[in-house]
Amino acid sequence: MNDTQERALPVLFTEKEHCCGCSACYAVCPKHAIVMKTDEEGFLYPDVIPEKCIRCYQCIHVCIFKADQKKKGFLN
Amino acid sequence: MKFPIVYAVKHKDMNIRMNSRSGGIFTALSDKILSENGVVYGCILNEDFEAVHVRAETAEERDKMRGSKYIQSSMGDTFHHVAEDLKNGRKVLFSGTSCQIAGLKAFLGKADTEQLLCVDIVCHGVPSTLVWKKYLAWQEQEHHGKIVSVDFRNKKDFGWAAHVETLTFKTEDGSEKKVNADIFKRIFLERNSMRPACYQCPYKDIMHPADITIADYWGIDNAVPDFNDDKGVSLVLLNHEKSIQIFEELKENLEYRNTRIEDSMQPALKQPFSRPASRQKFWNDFRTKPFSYIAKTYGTLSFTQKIKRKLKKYLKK
Repeated sequence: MNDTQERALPVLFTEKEHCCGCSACYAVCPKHAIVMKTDEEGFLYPDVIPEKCIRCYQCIHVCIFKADQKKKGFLN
Repeated sequence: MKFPIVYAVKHKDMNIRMNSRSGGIFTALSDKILSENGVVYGCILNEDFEAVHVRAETAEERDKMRGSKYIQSSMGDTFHHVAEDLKNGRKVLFSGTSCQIAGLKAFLGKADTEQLLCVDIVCHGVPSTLVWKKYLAWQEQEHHGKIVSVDFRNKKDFGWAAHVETLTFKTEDGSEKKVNADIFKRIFLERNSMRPACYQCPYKDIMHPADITIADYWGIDNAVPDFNDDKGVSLVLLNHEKSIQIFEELKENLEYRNTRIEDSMQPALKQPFSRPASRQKFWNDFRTKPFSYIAKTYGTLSFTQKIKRKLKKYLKK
């Protein structure tokens, strides 16, 4: 394991309420390390592939949905 | 200037209006972009009746984007294609839900977006594609045929205000059969099948992330009563300086009235729809029971609801 991979994997959401499935994180990833996967209810959510992820966290920074939820008081 | 600037809009071309969900503003806007060698992005229903975002360079491709789709579209690599078109100096109209617009803008970041026009719809929240697909499969079984086309909201036969879904089947003997229903509509309205994030949507507001917001003008009878002919009126919210000039350029093709936001309110402009208490039960039932049970329990008015409805109608008379 190299240095990069010792850092924590990005956590894109902890609860499904906080992901709208817009695909910005998927699109911004420079390593194609995010796939959009269908959950058991039929909605798409991003999933990080640990081996491909370089822990640049661009996916975290691009997420405007959670930021806008926070502004509205939906996210603590 | 106080935003949004609000308009009630009808496209002057009745054919365009009848083929659009509301008053045809999306067609007017996208025609303009296409005429300037631009590119239009929007949601279509593909051959499997799933909603997907696609890129259009012709009116024919664009036409598939008209009409409502009551499920969430998958974006694929659309954001990258938009970035590429902008880089190549093309004009781009991107249409979608508010969260898709916000996501695209965040993705584009500091890139030059002078040539980008974003249009969002007033969205109620997106039901599950899985429920939609199961519903279609069940209808195919019920009617012994293959579905060849669907209309989430048949305006041509039932008028603008009505909400009737029409499924067209090709039956075993090769004939065509149309079925009108309201089962998926009821499942949608009960909100059990909605994406969890929609219950906490930060864009249920008067101001939206897009330059222009469009919707059915449900407040039309308050705002401009004589404008409503039940063939569709678009609510148009100009949210940004950029959209004022574009709207000016469209005016020759439109009938329009400048209206007040106070007369144009609908629930989705105020706050997100709440998570129903029955959500978990719905999904348990969906996982464990046949769709006929779902249709009966969640897609049909109960006896009490039917009585209430009749009473309401009677009392209105």
